[in-house]
Amino acid sequence: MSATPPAGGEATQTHGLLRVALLGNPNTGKTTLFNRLSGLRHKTSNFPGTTQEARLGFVRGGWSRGDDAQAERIECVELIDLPGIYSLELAQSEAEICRRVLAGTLSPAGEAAVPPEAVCVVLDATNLARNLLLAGEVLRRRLPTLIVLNMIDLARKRGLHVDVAVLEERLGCRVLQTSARTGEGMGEIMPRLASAAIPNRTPPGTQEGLEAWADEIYTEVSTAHDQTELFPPDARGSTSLTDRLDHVLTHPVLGPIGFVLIMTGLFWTIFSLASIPMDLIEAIFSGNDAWVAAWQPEWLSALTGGGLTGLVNHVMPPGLIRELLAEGVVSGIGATVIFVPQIVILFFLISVLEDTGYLARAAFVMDRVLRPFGLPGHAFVPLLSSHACALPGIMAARGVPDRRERLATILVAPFMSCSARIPVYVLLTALLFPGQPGMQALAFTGCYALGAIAGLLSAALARRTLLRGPSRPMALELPTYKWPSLYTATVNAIDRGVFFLRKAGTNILLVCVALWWLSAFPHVEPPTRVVEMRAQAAGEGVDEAAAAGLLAEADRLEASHARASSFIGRMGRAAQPVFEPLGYDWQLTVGVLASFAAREVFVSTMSVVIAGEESTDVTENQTLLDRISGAVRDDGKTPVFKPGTAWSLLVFFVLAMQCLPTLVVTAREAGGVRWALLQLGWMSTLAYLGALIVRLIAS
Amino acid sequence: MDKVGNHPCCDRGKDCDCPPAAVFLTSLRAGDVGTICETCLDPADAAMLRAMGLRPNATIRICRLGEPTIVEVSPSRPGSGDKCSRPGGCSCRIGLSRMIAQRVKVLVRQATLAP
Repeated sequence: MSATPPAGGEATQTHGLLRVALLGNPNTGKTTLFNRLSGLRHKTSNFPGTTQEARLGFVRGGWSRGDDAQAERIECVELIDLPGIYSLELAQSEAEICRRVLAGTLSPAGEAAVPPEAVCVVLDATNLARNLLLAGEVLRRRLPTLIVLNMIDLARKRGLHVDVAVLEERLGCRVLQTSARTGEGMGEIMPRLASAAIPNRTPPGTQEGLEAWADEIYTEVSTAHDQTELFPPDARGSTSLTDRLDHVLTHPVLGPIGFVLIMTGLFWTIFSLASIPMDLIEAIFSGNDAWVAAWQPEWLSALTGGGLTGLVNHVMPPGLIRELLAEGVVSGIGATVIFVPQIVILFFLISVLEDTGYLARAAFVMDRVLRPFGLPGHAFVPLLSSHACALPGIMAARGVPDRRERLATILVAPFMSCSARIPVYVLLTALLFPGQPGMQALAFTGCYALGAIAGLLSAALARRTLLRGPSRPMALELPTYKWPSLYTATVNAIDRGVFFLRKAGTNILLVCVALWWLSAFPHVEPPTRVVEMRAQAAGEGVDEAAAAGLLAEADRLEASHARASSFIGRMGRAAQPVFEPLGYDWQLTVGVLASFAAREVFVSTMSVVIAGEESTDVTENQTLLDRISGAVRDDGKTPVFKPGTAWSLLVFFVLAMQCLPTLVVTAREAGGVRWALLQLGWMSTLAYLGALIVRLIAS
Repeated sequence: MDKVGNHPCCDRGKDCDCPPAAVFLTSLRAGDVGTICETCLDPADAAMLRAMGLRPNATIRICRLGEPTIVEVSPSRPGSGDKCSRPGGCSCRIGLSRMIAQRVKVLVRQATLAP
């Protein structure tokens, strides 16, 4: 905190910043309150050395701190949103973080580790007795404290009344009634926080004493109307509706059916909605989209070539800088930004579901399925999300409360077949079963099943070895069913998107630039045949169509030659002996190595290396598929894609960890690079052995 | 109903402080109301439940039995009657896996009629 001298002889000092820790039980509306106060003026980071997320909100204004004679001016309040906990004394990582932040030995990354200047304890007014226990634990720490009695609107609706004056007197600090959902009392929080004082009472130090203290205060301050008023017929009906809903949503048969329906709807929505901005982003960066090209003005299309890559190529002179910008930086940014729509929509919908109270019930439903594999029910949403993309899936693993279970979920999430694998599955199943769509579909489904089974078995193995430890038995508070807050969902979704771009995006960009460099260098002269073809096209007597055909073929051959001569091509030749047991020649090895950066580049790499034609859509280009299926090794007669090799490659792609952005996110979410290396090592080993076994059987 | 003394968790030498009438949560029926007596869990899990409100003398109502068992928990209010123990009052709902539910001992205060 920085203090400036009083200005103009006034007895007022200016504080740069007031650090406030925001603490409360889960389901007290703490996040809604945080979002209401800070809006989008917040940043998300981690507590160093932990996997726990830290959110910092900033509220600017002018508030007085202290009495009139020596008042200080607070210009900005920094809110530290601590994890929701039931007690500071529990042996849980979340509780430890809260203890250490209050003690001043831990702070969010980049912040000074000093005790907060004030604590804001958020209590649920409808469940005051239990919430008072946490308040008591905080008051014992003798920090300036403000008690916020949230969800007061719901308490009133239930006929509950809290005597705030008596509560303030018993707690020895200020108490404020709020409703973060409706905004009631929110304007009072900041001035009250600025003037928060150390409580003048200290609760008992023992657990039993604290419980008796909380009971006593609760009895004194709370009153409920008589039963007739409290539970009129319609209210009784709504209460029994909660019982009935719980009965259905957690039922052994109906629960899973409902869960499947809801999740199907969720992912259908993600795929449907995300495809529009994703196409747009792809069009903006690469210009490969018909409908964007359709509305784009002709002059702009001519200028940009349909995308930012084209724009860079158009406005910059040829050379290394242009190539770096066009194919490294712009492509890298495009490869990062394209994930954002899925991430934002997924977290918006998860936030909506969570706010309704459904996700807590769903966790119990899936707990039965996942528990034998050492995973909790909370892991289902991350695993299901990973079928769209492992990045949001791994980020969603933050919802898994137990550290070991969270790590296991993160480690196995990339086994789920993500959308980037789909082009590879399409290519290989088409090669394996040409003209047999039924068999192709069966093989396709088998890939998904194999990935899920491998993931679950790997989780079971991890939980019995490296992450051995007791599973935390499921004991979850089931929040009241309610309409979700779209504002909170929107803020959460934007928060996740920005966090992804800021943290993962920079790393992904670096990886993409490095991959570009490996693929683009060293520059080599075009082969003699290419030079001859171009000369032939430029010669007299060649009609326009034939010349264009010759030039296109020359371009294809040159691209193929450049890829084969690049560093990554050379690496392919060097690494080929390793993949020889799987039946891969140097061309397939190049494809596999290139796809370690991102799986989706496999088809385009194959199209360049084998067919000499840059394309990613085998369904639209039967000629490309024919060329790939008819490709031969350097001996000129052995097919590259023999059935055993194709099966082996399919299994390899199902099981292998071939996504550098995922590794980056794993390292960050799991709290260390070693977890990413373990994930890479385990999945690659499993993929290699699986592919080897399949090749031996199929051959 | 399972009696406390017959339950495996009490055979591990743990002192049973509850009266003989105490039964395990899984022995109750949906709609039954009781008070928590104690929990036969390891200290970390017991502390967690206690912090969530499942502590001695807390009033519970069984909303659903099975996997999960769902209980509505109200605070203990010595000498203050049951104003808060009614459904939808100042209570909260907690879902418990069977593993936990079968280790929570309860004194039944108000049993529903057998079907």
